[in-house]
Amino acid sequence: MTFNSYIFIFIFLPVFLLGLYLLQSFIGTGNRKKTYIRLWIIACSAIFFVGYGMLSLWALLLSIAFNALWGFLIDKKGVPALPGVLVNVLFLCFFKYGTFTGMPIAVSFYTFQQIAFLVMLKKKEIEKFELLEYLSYILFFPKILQGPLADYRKVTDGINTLKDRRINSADVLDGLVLFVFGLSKKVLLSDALGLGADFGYSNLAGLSAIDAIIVALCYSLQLYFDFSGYCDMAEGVCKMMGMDLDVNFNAPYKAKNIAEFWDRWHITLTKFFTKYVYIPLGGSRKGTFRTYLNILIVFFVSGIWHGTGVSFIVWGMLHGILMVITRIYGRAKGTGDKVAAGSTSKVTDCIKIFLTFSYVTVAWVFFRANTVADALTLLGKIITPSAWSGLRVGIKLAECFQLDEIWYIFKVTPIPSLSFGGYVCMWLILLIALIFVFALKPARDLAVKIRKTPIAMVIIAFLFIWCTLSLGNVSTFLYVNF
Amino acid sequence: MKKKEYKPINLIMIFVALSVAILFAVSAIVIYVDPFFHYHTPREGFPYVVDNQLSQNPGMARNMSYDSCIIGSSMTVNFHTDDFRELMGLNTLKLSYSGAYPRDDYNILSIVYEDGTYARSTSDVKAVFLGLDIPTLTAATDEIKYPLPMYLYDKNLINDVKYLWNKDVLLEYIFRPIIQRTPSNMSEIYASWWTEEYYNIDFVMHGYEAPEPVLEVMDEELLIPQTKANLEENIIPFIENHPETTFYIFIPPYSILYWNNVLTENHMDATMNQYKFAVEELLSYDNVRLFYFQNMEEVVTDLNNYADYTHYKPEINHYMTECFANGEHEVTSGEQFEAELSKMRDIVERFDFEELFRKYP
Repeated sequence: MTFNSYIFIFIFLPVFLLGLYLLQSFIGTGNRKKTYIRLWIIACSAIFFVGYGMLSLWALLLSIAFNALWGFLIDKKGVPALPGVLVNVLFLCFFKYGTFTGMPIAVSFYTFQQIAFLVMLKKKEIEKFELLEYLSYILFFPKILQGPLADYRKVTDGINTLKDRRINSADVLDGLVLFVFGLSKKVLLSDALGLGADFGYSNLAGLSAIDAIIVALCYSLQLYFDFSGYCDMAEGVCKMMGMDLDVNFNAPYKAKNIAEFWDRWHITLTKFFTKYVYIPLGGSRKGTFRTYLNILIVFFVSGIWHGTGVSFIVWGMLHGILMVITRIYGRAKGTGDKVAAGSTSKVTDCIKIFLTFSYVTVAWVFFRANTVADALTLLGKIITPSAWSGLRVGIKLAECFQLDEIWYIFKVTPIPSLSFGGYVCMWLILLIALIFVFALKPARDLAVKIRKTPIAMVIIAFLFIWCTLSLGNVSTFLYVNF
Repeated sequence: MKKKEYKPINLIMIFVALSVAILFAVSAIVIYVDPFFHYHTPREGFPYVVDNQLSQNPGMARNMSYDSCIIGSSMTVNFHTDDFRELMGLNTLKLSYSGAYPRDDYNILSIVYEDGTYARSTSDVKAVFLGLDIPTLTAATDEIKYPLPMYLYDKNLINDVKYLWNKDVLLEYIFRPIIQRTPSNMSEIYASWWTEEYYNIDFVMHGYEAPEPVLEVMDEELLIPQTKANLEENIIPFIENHPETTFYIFIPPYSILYWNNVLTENHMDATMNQYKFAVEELLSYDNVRLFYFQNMEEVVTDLNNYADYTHYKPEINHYMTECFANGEHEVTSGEQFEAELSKMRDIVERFDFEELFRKYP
């Protein structure tokens, strides 16, 4: 099931929290209580995952069986981690590049966590192998589908401390608000923007230059709200339990350069690649050239991890190349690797943010397009002078944004009769999205800092209802496919 | 001044209570109006909009009053059920699915014949008008054209939540009809969007793309096993189990361009054999009346009757209804059907495709 489903919101989550509360309050003590709580989390996580079909289920079971065994052997017999890591890499490649018609859900995410687990166990960063602890970590439902690629100790410590506390109303309230914010990002914004992106990418030939820019922008924002919405919901669920989850997303489009972007976007993936790819390759310890090469290798691997096909490699290399250029620039300026630190005036910062966002958006074109040729077609539209001959946005594209609820409000105004009436919904949605991205604090901070009053809760309840009624056409999360 | 602090539990209760109250109210509205007729018959005076085959057909099949129904693909959407009342005295309900495969027909017929529904408690099914697209009989027996909103097809009350808490249902099918006050004309529901001006040879030829030529001739028997399986699984059980119903099965008049596809893909004999097999199977049942319209030469060779290579203008639907009433174009035996097929083959052989494609390259 997904977070944006009726069954999760109205059945799974309340039952899970109630069960956890009862275990915390009435069942067992000490280690016995810890065991019960772990079993409850494992059982619920298994139920959460089970609906994704037999292929996904068998792949997960196979992965768990192997890594549990290898973890046991590392712990008890001192076998090296490397063969286990290689098997995981092969396992991932087998599904990503094999002849399967579909890929098991979340395989990229849990395989990376398995690799991290084996390496940490070997390095004694995990004290010893414990089956229930391992299962509660790998299956933990708030993160199993799209991450974060959470730290083993942080998750297991969080789960272990649940025995000493009870779910409390303050945590539930903060988590609830964050969950509703995340749900709204996904259901109200990401899915609305996705309609424009989907239309554009399936009608590339008919796009004008301005259409192409809007389509690229739509996907950039769609992915942002999709992924950050998911992360907010995952964090919200953990907060309700009384746990903290690794921060995976921190206003990435406010980054002033590409290095800062990767410190803010999918943070745990960046950390994983740094720890398990960049540093083993030598990191920045083997000279300037090797440093740049290592950066390119990391982004090449990132491209492959995100998807099959040349377009994902192009996407990765676009990021890698700019990262290298940024490093070179940083060295020339004498700031070295601290390229993110440079801040001059607000105007300069705004220009930096704009340029970084624009570059990332161009790179997302390769990420979204079916082929490199499609991506080049879309980008070609933007730089072809003839495509700029008419600056009007295609009405078909604008119509994708005419959501009923907004249109009904407009219907009672003179807007529909105006010459630009058909475009108002589109500009409004884009404007709201851009305000959320660039002007507001991250939802995580808002959820904690907003003053919670009865009026605020009424507004949040209405937001929740609006999302609930919009779940009818359920969409999946974009990152769940990786 | 210190701002008042509210207890978290009270704030949570406000959220929960308000959410529950609104969702309850929304559910009550949807159940009361029931725009997809999932729970009850239409409310008197509500301006129902019926334009969603996948979502509204199952409810209509269960909760509307009718004694006959139209089943089939987009070949059936332009029938006017008023014609059936006028010409045959039948209270007919249109239950078409655009692009329907045999399994789609099976699914809706299963609901039509479901025991205990309002529809079946008020009337038996006197007649089923089934548009049979022979080419679709090669589909997998469980293949459906579009994913179905199963919460409207199954009997699981839990998943009805997708219907009850659905923004589209609320805005498109309850609030909008209330504001616009223009209910669907049940006689004409699902009619195709092509208006009169689209039915012309220029429009047809502009949109027509001939298939890639196939050099190898298709084995004459190749299409038979799957055709047999589809008939036996998806169509014939209803004919056998419901002798009280007359099944008016008709083969719709695709344009001559359809036959160009058959020729280009090199399966003329296999296709003819498939038609012959299907019709002979169906004619073995006393409660089947079979109509063959494809060899209406003046219709199928004049592309001004079409909007694309298969979709004919609504006047043809009206004519077919007249035929159901007066028996014209009815086929009653295998021998007669072979003669009809010969006539069809003759039309195809005589038609000057080269001239057509020269005019419309």
